[in-house]
Amino acid sequence: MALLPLVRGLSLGAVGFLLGGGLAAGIRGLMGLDPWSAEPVIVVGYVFGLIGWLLGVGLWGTWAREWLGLAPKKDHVHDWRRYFRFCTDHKVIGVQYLVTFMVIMLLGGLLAVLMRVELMQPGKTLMGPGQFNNAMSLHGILMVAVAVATIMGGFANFLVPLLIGAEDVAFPRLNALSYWIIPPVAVLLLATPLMGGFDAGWTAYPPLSVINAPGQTLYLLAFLTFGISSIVGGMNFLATIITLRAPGMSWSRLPIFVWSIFAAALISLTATQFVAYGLLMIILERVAGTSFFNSAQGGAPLLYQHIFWFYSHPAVYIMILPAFGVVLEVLAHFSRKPLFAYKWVVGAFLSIVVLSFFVWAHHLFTSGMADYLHLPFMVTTELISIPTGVVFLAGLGTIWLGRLWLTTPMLFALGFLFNFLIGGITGIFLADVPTDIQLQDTYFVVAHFHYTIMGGEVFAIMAGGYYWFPKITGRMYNDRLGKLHFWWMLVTYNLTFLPMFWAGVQGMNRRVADFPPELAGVNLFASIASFFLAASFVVLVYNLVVSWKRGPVAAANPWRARTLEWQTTSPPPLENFPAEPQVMGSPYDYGVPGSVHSRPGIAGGAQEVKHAQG
Amino acid sequence: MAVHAPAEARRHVSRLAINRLGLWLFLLSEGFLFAAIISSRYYLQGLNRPETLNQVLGLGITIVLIASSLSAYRAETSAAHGDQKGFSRNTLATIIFGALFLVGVSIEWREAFHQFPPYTGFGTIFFTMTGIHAFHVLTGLLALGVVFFLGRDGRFTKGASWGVEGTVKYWHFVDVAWVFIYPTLYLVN
Amino acid sequence: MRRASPRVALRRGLWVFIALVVLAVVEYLLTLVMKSGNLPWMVIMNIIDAGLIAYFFMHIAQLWRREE
Repeated sequence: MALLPLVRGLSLGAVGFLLGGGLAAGIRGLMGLDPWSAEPVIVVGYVFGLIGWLLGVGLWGTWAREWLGLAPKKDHVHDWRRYFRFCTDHKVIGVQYLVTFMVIMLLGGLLAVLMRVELMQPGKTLMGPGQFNNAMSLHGILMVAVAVATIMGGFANFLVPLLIGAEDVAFPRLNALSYWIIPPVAVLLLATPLMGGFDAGWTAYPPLSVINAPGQTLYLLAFLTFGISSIVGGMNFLATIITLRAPGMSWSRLPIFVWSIFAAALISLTATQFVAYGLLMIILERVAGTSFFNSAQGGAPLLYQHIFWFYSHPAVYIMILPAFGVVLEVLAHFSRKPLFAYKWVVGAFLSIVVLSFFVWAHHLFTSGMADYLHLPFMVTTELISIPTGVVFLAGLGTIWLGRLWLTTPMLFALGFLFNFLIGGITGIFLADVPTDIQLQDTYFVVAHFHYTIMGGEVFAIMAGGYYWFPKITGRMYNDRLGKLHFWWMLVTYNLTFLPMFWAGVQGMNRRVADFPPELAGVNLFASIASFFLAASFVVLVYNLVVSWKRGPVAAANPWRARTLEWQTTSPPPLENFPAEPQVMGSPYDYGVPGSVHSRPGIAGGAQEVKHAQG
Repeated sequence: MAVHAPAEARRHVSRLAINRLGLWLFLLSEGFLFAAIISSRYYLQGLNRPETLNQVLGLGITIVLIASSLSAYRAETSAAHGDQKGFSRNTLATIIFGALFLVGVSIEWREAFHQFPPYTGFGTIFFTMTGIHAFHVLTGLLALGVVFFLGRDGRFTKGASWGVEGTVKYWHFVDVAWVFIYPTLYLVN
Repeated sequence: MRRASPRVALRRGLWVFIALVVLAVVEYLLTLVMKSGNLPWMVIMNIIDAGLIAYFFMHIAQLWRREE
């Protein structure tokens, strides 16, 4: 019974798929084509199936009925079943995102382990080259999704309304929609191996992505759907932050995490349309026989790379900006000092947003694009390291002379600084054209972006996860296990990825299942280290699961932090705050005499009482 | 309970203003989609344009779409001022103009299939661009249809006209997109 | 803009419509006259089009003006 909405969604989705697929087959039959060509049938069937799934899972009851003039149904469920329904409470949606993407992260990690098994020695160990590339592509897109959505979908959903003193986001139903559109993405991606997989990498460059197995089409549809979720989410956060701040929460008092989400939401709102168009072009190329990338007809494969990176480079800032936000938040609260250079950090976030749209072609230095584009894109790419450096220095300035409280989240935030420094500095070699031409498509690139995204963002996710765990679950995690997890992960992480820089300089190519015997030593070392790295996640999962069930009950404000989310119970009630809080000053003025961030609102006003009764 | 409406007393920006902001943000996002499509035209085809394009039809459907924007504007104004008849009449006119536009596009497609089929360079751009735009017109027509049927009992003319306003804004946006697409496909040289 | 009376608002809509049609026709005629390099003119006229629609039809000023 609890899973009724899911069953309804699945069955309507199946009906939609059959309808759409039948429609496509029928039209093809009328046009005199082979009606059962797999890909057009799948594409049209999927679009109808997606609509059916969404209607069934709750869109119909809570929303679409209005379009036909019927009253929407209210869903009176308060217990754990909310998490399996079309629930519009931002806290429920945040937890849905966090759990979903935690599972996806573990799956993607498992694929990485499989790849490292293959790379333990030269020659074939486990997978052939095709299977290896399928695993690599699937690992890539799963982890990109994790990097984009864990903070933006999970933490931001749970925390942004709390941090600004609001009751919910601006568009709660759209918010639920942006989560429930994700399960079809996961299903499609996990179904790709059944249709031959996709071996073009998560970047899906044509011409390969136009001619490979039908699994590629599933991948394209999945990414496109995920993009819709990202756009809707970005729009929702912008509207929420602009309109729903509590009285007194001026822009200069906004917690830095909220600013980082604001900046990242600007990117995901706008740039995502480009990747949607890029993926659509490949779908049309495969299904409708267009000639975007067919040079014989005047097409150009490079068009895809431009369109794709016009999204996907800004997208790395969708990943890393919220990570900056989480880390600065944690650093300030556990250094017991005001956040250093707050206004400069905000300025840096916004300039990163603007600059991120002008750097994309540094991914194309070796692609054969016009030479005159090399210099401008090298310059803009190096320019963007200035605001990034400002954020990094603000982190250092915050812990400088602070009274550091070395809890688990604080350790992860410091680990972020360590890893991100390596990731940032190695990026310079990839921004410079002469070195990039040598390093492109080697493990140097792999190591660089894993240092920024895994060493950077995933460490930030861990920092945020431990920091907000008591708020989200109402229970405390085991601090000793948390610290064990940190040291274990920090050491094995660096042992895994640091050697990859060296391997890359020695000529180890990325996206290959085999390598010359000279590189056997370093690959074996990285593989063994990666197995230990994977094992560190067992500690994490054990700690989270056991603490969620049986951990000690957490106080409302175990960190004695000043931001608004800690000024309500753990976990917060449906309306977040008994009455609207009043914001009086900066959230980070620790140790500043007489400073106050917020005062609780006065409950019991006529409206409040009426609302509580209604 | 899954749906909860925040208490009115706490809100400092009206629901209407929030809706408007959200819609504009969405339209900004859609603007990037059309920017991507238009830039791919110049990237692939430069200023190349076949002489066989049906120029009269192109100008014709452009004017029809602009006319539909006028009637949409009139429908919104009527709804905001409580004029039920004006609202219904103008919404219906907008739907008819929009449908006429789609008819024009499909005539254009029939001709284009012979002159520059989708597998040719210009055909790729032409069919993609008009196709994505026509899809937006189609969704706009669906929304207008919903608004038309819901509004017959006067629910939008009694003060709460966000449904009309939002739909009409979206419709105007589709018009703006076409205003840029028209010269991009038919006129540049 | 302040809320105008229905008559004024409807007449204003008509003027905007006429301006848009005139611009479309001018674009078309310009193409017949200019055999090359009309792109900048098209862009300028399109921006005017978009500005007219956004300001008068879509009331973009509602975003930053106090509500009526």
